[in-house]
Amino acid sequence: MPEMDQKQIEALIKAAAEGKLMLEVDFVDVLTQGDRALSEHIIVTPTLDRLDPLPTLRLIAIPDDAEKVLKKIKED
Amino acid sequence: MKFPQLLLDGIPDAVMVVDSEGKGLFANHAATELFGFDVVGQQIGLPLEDFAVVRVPYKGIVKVVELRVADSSEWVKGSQAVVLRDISEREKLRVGLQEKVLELNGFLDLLEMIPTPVVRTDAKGNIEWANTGFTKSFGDAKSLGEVPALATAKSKVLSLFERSPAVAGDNTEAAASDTPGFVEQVFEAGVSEHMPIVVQAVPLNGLEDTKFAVVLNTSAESQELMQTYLNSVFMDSELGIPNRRGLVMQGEADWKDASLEQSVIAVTSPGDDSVEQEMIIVRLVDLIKEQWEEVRQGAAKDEPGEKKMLMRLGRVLGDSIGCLIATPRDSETGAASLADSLAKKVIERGLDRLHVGLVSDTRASTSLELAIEEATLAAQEASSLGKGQHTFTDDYSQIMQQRRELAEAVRASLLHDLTVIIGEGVSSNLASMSRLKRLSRPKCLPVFMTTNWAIFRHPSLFRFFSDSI
Repeated sequence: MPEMDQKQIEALIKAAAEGKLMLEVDFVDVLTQGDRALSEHIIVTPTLDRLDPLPTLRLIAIPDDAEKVLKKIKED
Repeated sequence: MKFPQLLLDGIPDAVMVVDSEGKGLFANHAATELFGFDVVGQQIGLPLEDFAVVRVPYKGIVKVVELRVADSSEWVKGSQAVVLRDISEREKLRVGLQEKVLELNGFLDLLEMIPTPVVRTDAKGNIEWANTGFTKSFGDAKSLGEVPALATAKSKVLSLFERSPAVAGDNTEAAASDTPGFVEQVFEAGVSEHMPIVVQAVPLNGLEDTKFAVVLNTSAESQELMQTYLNSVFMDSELGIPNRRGLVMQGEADWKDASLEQSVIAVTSPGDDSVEQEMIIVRLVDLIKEQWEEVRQGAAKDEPGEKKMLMRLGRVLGDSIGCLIATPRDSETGAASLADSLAKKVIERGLDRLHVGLVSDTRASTSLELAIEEATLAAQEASSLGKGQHTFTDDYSQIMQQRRELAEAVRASLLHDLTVIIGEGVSSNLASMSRLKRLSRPKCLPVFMTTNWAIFRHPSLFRFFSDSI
């Protein structure tokens, strides 16, 4: 996983913790888990999927601003 | 709807439209090609930013893609148009440039730490960079200013280039007819019966503008070393990265020893003097020869070649005295004038002599004539300050004899100020300079100049300094 993506996710987890939001993150590295990436139809990285709560939401072109990402994740 | 589809299919950038849930609504041909499949109906994702750089896995490789997003609600409510451009090559270039800058900075840091004055000039002889050792010896490098009489010299060089048949009639057929002589030279220069290197001319088709190609049976390590060397020679002056004019390609193995592979060196260089290219190959063979010797003697190879060379350079330069001027090709005139400025400084500082070795790395350099002219003027000027005679040579056919006379002249004259050696390959010049350095007197500051920054990587340079310690 590129260093930048890793930092983005770490920032996201940290921001979620600060906002008392439970966040469970499952990483998929498309280089080492190519089959899973294919079955999940991931076509660009980084891609962020919200699996729960429903409805699912898929985001691409993720900004460094973790607050902005969290806001989108929290939307229904 | 047909018109936009046709229009969008015709443009080279990938364009796709995602609906308000991030599902693909439209993709042009370029988008389908980029991803390797049609993304219409696929859950692509909602772009959160208007601009981003993302990665696209594609058939086992990862493409770097620039992504721009625009609202396309007017077409379908809540939809967004995404334009994607594959910037993998640009990214490679950027990373390469970044690495090169880091390498250069590391190299300059190394040179900064050593006491030897080292200076690098531009083609006009202006100082681009100088280390602390140089500043300590000569004062502020900038105070030396632009080297005089270079505008005329430069135009003369250009006119010589225009007359050069190697430039005017550059084509592969002409180059091919030159090949046998070149091969002979390579054999003379570097191939011995004990070294498993076979040099042969190969057809020049297949590579556009290939001046010549040579096949050598070498180890994989030598291939790497040769490419590193060619990269340093064929450096793009603006981007600071190799411009791929010199390529080492792995060919089919055709040697009894399984540890050796066949390399094809192709030098594509449509504007340059073919002799210069021949010298490059001769130097490559030198490199291989040296490496082969190391392998043969079982020398430990715990450092990568480049780093090892830099370490050696730092060690030998650090222990030596003298000044090293690195300046681009065809600016020997600038280097000579710069040396003259330095000579004045040395005399002002009460040193009684200055030895200048001007190393020209092309023995048939088109600027040779000018270099001699300028060097003579520089030498005369130095002499007019009251310090004896100057010596130089330009006749390659009699170079050995003249070199002997030169050494004698140096030995005989206590008033010698400026010695200029021009017109031969690097190795032989360095050998001459080495001899001159051994003849140096205590209050002497030797100045060494080179027309090629890449010479730092040349083993002869290390040998020269090593010999001088």
